[in-house]
Amino acid sequence: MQLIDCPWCGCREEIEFSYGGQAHIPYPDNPAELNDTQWAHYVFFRSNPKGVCAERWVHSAGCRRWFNALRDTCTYHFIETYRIGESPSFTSASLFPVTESQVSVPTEAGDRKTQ
Amino acid sequence: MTQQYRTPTGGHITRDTALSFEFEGTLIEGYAGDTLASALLSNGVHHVTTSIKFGRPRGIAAAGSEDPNGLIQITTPIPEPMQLATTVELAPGLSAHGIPGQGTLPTEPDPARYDTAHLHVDLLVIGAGPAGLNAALEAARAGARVALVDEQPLPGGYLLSTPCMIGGANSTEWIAQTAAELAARAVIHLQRTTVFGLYDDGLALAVERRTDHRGSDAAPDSLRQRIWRIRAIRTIVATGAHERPIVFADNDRPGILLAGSARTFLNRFGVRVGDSVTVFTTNDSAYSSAFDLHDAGVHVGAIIDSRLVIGTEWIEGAKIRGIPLHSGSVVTGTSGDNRLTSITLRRFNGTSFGTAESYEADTLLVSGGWNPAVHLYSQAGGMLRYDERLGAFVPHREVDAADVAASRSGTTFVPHREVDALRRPLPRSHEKFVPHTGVDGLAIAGSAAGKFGLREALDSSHKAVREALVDLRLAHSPSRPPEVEEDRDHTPGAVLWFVPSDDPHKLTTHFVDMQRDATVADIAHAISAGLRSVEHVKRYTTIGTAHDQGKTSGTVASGIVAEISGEKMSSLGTTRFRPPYTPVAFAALAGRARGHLFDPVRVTAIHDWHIAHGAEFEDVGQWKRPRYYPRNGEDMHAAVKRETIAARNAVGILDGSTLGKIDVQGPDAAEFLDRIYTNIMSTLKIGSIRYGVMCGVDGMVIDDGTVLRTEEDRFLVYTTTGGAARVLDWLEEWLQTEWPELRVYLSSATEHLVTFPVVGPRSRAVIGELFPDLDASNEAFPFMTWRDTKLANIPVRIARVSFSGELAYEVSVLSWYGLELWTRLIETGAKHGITPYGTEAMHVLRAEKGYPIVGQDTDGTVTPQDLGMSWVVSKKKLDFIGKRSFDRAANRDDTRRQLVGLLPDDPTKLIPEGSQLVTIESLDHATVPITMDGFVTSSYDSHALGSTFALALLVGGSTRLGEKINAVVNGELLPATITNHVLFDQEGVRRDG
Repeated sequence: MQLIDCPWCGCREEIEFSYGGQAHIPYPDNPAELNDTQWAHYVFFRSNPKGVCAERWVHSAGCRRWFNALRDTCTYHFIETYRIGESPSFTSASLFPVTESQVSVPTEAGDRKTQ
Repeated sequence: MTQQYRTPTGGHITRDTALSFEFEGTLIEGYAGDTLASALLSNGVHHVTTSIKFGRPRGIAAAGSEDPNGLIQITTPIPEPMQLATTVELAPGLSAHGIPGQGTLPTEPDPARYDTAHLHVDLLVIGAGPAGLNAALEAARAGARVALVDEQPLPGGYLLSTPCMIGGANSTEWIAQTAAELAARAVIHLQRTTVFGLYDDGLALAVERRTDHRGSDAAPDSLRQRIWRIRAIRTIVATGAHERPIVFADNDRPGILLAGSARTFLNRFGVRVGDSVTVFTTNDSAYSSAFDLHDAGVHVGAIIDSRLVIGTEWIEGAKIRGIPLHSGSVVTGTSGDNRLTSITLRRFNGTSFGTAESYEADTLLVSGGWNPAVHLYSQAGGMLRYDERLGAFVPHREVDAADVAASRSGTTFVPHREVDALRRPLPRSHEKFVPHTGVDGLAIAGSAAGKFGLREALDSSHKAVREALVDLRLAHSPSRPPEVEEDRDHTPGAVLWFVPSDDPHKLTTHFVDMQRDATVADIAHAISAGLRSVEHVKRYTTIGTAHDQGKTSGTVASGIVAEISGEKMSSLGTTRFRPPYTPVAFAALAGRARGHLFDPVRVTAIHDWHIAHGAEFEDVGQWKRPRYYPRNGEDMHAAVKRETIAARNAVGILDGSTLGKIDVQGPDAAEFLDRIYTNIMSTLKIGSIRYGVMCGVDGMVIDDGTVLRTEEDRFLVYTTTGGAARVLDWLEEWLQTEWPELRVYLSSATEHLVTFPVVGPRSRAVIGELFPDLDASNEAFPFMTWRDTKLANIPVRIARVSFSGELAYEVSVLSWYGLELWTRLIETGAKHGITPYGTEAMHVLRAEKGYPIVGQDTDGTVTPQDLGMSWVVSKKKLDFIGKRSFDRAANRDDTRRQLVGLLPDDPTKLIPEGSQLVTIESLDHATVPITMDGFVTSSYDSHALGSTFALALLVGGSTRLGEKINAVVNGELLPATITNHVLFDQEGVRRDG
C-alpha cells in the first residue's frame, strides 16, 4: 500500500484515498454549444497513457479534499501531488522516457481553475 | 519410542523438558525446542504422509518452511489444517496426523483472538540470522529506531545450524550477546514472526504466532496471532537462502532430504537423520553436512559429487573420515517402500552415463546449490537476474545506493515525512524523469543477496546498514561487523537441474514439485504443448502453486524448462513471487474485524423501541431498518398487509431516520443546487419543499429526494438512505473541483436528525392533537411546505411530503429527542389506530404510486424521462449537470427502457424481481436468443390494488400501456398487462386528506 502525499495532510495510506479519474478535464463553458460528438468526448472519453498520467484523487477518509496527482501508470507510483488550481512541477518536456504523445499532462489552457 | 536418533548432547533444545505428543495415534516424546519434524526424526519417523495424486509415501524433506512434503493436520489443542511438521513447534497437548495434500477445516468455532498492531520504525530488518542481527545492532548503535523480525522461535538463523566462531565468541554466545544488546537498545525484536508481504513505501506485513508454542497451556481465548503492519523508512531483507534439490528418479522417498537441513536437524535439534547416510551434491556446502554427521557418529557411506573438480580441502576431509568420494557421478535411482533402502549411482559426464552401482542407505542428503530467499524483495518490486555461477536468481541492483547517498550526513532526528521525501529524490526537482523501480528504501543482505559465505554475508549487511544510516541522516558508529573465519566455499558449484534421460517425457518419477506430484515429464508435456513462458508452464503443470509456493521447485522448474526448450535461463526468468511468503490464516488477517465487528452497524435513535416491539430487521447498507413488525405470529405477508392497510385507511408511522440529510449553507447555496438538480431550487421559498432529482453528466439519475429551504442561504437536502455518503461526496467534488468560487458549505446531518413520517388519512388528527400550536389544516399547512413547532420545549420540524400518496406529515427532531417524539406520536395516535410500519410496507405504498427507488428501479442507465418524470427536468435553466446529455440522440431514442407498471393476469402470482420480460407467446420452439424487452425492478402484493403488481423497465414502455407482456419465471411465462407506473390514486386526491 502506497503512501500518498495529500497536499493538505501529508503522506497517508492509500486506503484513505479515492480515485477520481483523469484530471484537467474541465466542465465545458457552454455545453449547449457543443455537438453530440464533442459532448460525448467530454463525458465518456479519457486518455489511457502508458506512463505519466494526471489524475484526480480525494482524501476521502481524511480531509476530504480533492487534489491532483501525476502518477506513472506502469509502476503505479505517484510522482507528484498538487492542489486544485496549482500546476505540477513536472512539465511534459521533463518526462522521460515517455514520449510527448503518451503524456496526458495538463497544459495551461487545460486547467480551468488555474488562479 | 525413545528418541534413539537424538545425540547425547548439543542442540538448541531443552533436554530437561520432555514433551509427549501424538502423531498418527501414537504417543511419542520430544523436547521443548523441537519442531514436530525434529521430534519425529529423533524417533526415526521419516514417513509423514502420502502424496496428493499418486499416494506415494513422503517424508520430511527440509528443515523449514521450504519443505514441500511434511504436511500435517493438527487436531489438538487448536485444530488447524495444512501445517508443516517443520514449522510446528512441539507443545503440550499436540496431536497431529499427516495429510495427503489437503486438510479439513475444523467445524467448531475458533475461540482464539487475533488482532493487528502498527509499528513505525526507521529501519526494519527482516531475518535474525548473522546478517540481520548485525544490521539491527549496527543501526541501533547509531541511534536508529529498529525493528528486527524473524520467523523462528530463536534468533540466529544459519548460525543455529552451523556453529562457528564469530566476533571472538562461539556463535551461541554471540547470538545471546547481540540479542541482549538489542534489547538494551530498545530494538523491537519479534521472533516467531514472519514477514509475509513487502509492499510499497516500506510497508511490511508480518504475522506473529504468540501462543501456539505453549500448546494446551495457553488459554483457549488467548490472543493467538497478531498481524504487524510495519512502516519502515528503510528495510533490510536478510531472509537467508533455501537449498535447492536435484531432481532424479524416485527422488521423493522418505529419507531423502536436503543436505543443509540434515545439518540443521543435527546441530540445532540434536537429531541424526539416519544411520547410513549418502550425500549427493553439486557444490561444496553439502560436505560440511556430511562431515558434521560423520563426526556425530553417523555412518556416511559415500559422497556423490556431480563435479569432476573438487576442492582439495573437501577431498582431504572426506579421506580423513574414510568417506568414499564419487566425483563426476550422479544418483540415477532409489529404492525402498516407506523409507529409502538403497540408491543407484552412475558416472555422468553431462551426456552419457557409466555403469550403475547400488549402495545401501537409509538416508540421502541432496544439495543442488542455494537459492537466495528473494521472495520479499521481489514482492516489493525488486528486479531479479539469473546468476550463472550460482544457478539462482539474485537481486538485480542497477544503482549502488551508496553513491547516491554519500554526500549526506548529520545526526539530527529527521521526521518521517522528510526522510520519505529523501528516499524518493524524484518529485519537485525533475531534471530527468527516472522510472520508479519500486525498491527505494530496500536493501538486501546476506545469503538472501547471494552472499553465502559468512564473512561476505556480514560485509553485505554492514554495507546495507551503512547506506540506510546515511539515508536516515544518522552517523554510523565506527563499529565493524564481527570477525569471522575466511569463507571457504570457493570451488564453483555445478548447475544440475535434473539427472536427464533421452526422453524427458519418460521422467515420470523425477519429482519437481512433490506437493503437487508434478514431474519433469509434466514439464516436458507442457513444452510439447507449446508453452514457453515459465508462468504458463507453472499453470499447466501446477508446479509452485501448492502451500509452499514452490520454494524448492520454482527455480528448478525454470531450469528444466530452459534445458528442455533450449531457452536461456536469463531470458526465461522465474515466476513472480507473490505474498504471502508462507500461508497466513484468514482469522489472523481478519483480526478483530469478525462477527459484530466485521462491519459497523448503524442504528437509529429508536432502535431499542423497534427491538422491544418485535421488529424484523433488514440491512440497508450498514443500517438496521425495521422491515415489518409481526404481531401474534404473523408472517411477513400478513404483517405487511396489515401495515399498508393502516397507512391507507387510518394512520401509520415509519422510522425514516436513515434518509440522508445534508445541510447546505452559504450565499451561493441556491445557485449551487440549481446546478446540481435537474429542476430549479433557487425559486423555492423559505418554508417550502421541492422534490428533486440529481443526474450524472451523462444524464442518468443518481439520487432523488426532497429539498427544504430553511433560510435564505440554507437548505436541507434529503437523499436516499443508501446514497447519503455518495451524494455528499458528489456535491463536494463539484464544489471543490469545478466551482471553487461558489461560497457553499456542506455538512452531513443524517445522524443529527430523526425523521418519522406519520402517514394516512388520520395523520392530521394525530399531528393536530400532539402539536396544538400548529394549524395542520391543508390551507394553513399545504402540501410541500414545512412548519416549525414545539413538543414541550423541544423544537420540532414537520414537513408535508408523502412517499405513499397519502396525507402525511414527516416529523423531525434532534436525534437526542427521537425516542420521546416517537413514543408521544405512538401514544397520541393509539386511538386512531396508529401502526408502525417497516420498509416492506413502505415499498408497497411507494410502488403502488409508481415512486421509484434509485438503485432498485434504476441502474445507472435510466434518465428522469425514462422514469416518467420529465416534469422534474427544468426547461428554463441554461445548464445543470446532465442537461446536455438529455439532447443526445441516444437519450431521445424511443426504444429506451422506461418505467411501467405490470399487473399479472393472475392477481395471486408474484413476478419475482429481476424477471425478464418477453413478447413471445411460448418458450417451446422459441428461436434463441430470445429478445428481452425489459425486466422487473420491484414487485409486491398489494391490498389496495387487490392484486400483485410490479414495476419494470421496458423497451419503449411509455407507448405500450395496455399491451400484454410475458414475464419469464422458472422457465414458464407469466402473462401481465402493461400499465402506467402509477397504479394507485393516479389523480393524487389522497395526499391532502
